[in-house]
Amino acid sequence: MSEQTLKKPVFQLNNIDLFYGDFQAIKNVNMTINYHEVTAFIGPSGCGKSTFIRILNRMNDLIPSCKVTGSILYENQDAYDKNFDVIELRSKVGMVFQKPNPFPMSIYDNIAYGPRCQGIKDKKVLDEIVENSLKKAALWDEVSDRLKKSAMGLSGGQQQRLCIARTIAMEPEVILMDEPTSALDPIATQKIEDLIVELKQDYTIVIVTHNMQQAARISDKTAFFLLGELIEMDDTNKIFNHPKNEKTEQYITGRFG
Amino acid sequence: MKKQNNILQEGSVNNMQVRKTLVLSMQALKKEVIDMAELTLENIKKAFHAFQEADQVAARDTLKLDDAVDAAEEDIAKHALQVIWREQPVASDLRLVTGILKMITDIERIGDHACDVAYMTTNINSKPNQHVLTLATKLMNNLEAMYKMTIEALALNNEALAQKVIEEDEQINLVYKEALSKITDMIKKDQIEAEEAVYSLMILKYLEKIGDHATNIAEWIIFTLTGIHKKTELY
Repeated sequence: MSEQTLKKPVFQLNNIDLFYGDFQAIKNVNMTINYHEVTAFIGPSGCGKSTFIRILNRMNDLIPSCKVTGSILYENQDAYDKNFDVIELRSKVGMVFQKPNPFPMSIYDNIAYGPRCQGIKDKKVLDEIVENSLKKAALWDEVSDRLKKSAMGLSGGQQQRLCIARTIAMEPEVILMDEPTSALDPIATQKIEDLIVELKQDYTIVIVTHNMQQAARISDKTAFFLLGELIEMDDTNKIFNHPKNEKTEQYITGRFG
Repeated sequence: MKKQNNILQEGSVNNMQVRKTLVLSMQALKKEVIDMAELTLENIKKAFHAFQEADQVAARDTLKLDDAVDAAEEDIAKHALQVIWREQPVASDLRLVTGILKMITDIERIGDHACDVAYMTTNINSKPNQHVLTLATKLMNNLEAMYKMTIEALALNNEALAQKVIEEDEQINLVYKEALSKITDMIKKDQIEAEEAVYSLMILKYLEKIGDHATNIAEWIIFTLTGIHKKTELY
């Protein structure tokens, strides 16, 4: 990571409100997300953390009743400007979901799918992308001898790393992860957590998690949401040792949740 | 509880439930520490009373009380570790558990010093010199008030009171120095038996050391409340 990008914002969000019809799901949130940091969103179910992460790559555009207001700058450009290229945004801000969702095709084709859609046809180039992406997702050693086999035959943990590799193949700047380990066993979870720590050398990661110990283990910054509000965001170290806000303290210490 | 209720009433977050086991474990742990500290306070008082009265039987009885202090230290350490591995506490809970693990070392040493006072007393055959007794009683009174304040600061989570304990140690040190100077003067003037002078000085030094340990406990109490130990943020 270059010194220039260190601690510089990739996302700057100001006065963000989000409505599903009449219901306000996000209330006046301000947040900065820095390059090459892992930012964790925590909070009870229904607090808005998944809704908020979807603002970052405009996934909420797909919901007809959803309305977002406020300023969302991605690399200093208005990500919600009508002239902003959403397809480009989603290739630069990739997403991994709670349940692994490999395409019903081979491991190779899963990874090559995105680059092919972007017009890359050269097999040598695609081979290289597939290998590099799988290596970065710490999956290469486990699947290099069966790339043409169906991805559906992989274990849950392997499928999730495949989804991360598929995201990496698009050369993103940011990877969003919405509870990426909640469907995995502890060993698969550990592998994903180790991977996240590795990946932050090259990518910015935003993760929604219900597992507070996971947030404590892997994130640099933690944001606590409650009832659509960002209650507190700070260094993870400070959030889990001495949070400033009483509500944060009560949530992370299990006084409510 | 009032603040918790406010949050619980604020909105529609489902399934809100306090982590009862953690809360109860933390309360029990803290009570164990307070009980251990109160036990050592009683032992100090018994040891000092034996010294005042030159009561060797009472002094020997006091020596036997330290086993309960040592056992309490081990029980608390065990329970603190259980809270850590079972509950994985964070924030104020984590600070309290780690603070407690530090505090019990000082409390155990206070118990040892109460024994030291009792043990020295077993060597003294007659009631102490009146000048020595006056100064020692002054020191003991200051110390008792200071240690009670320490226990109260822990029980009430009172940072200001813990800070006052730290300040009080200066007073203990001044009284100790005054006593040291007085006994030195008495030795020079041949107004005190050599043996009594030595044992009395050692008893005074043990009392002064108890003040230092109470100060350490107060510093850890402040850490549990603020995350800051002396001047360092420990996170």
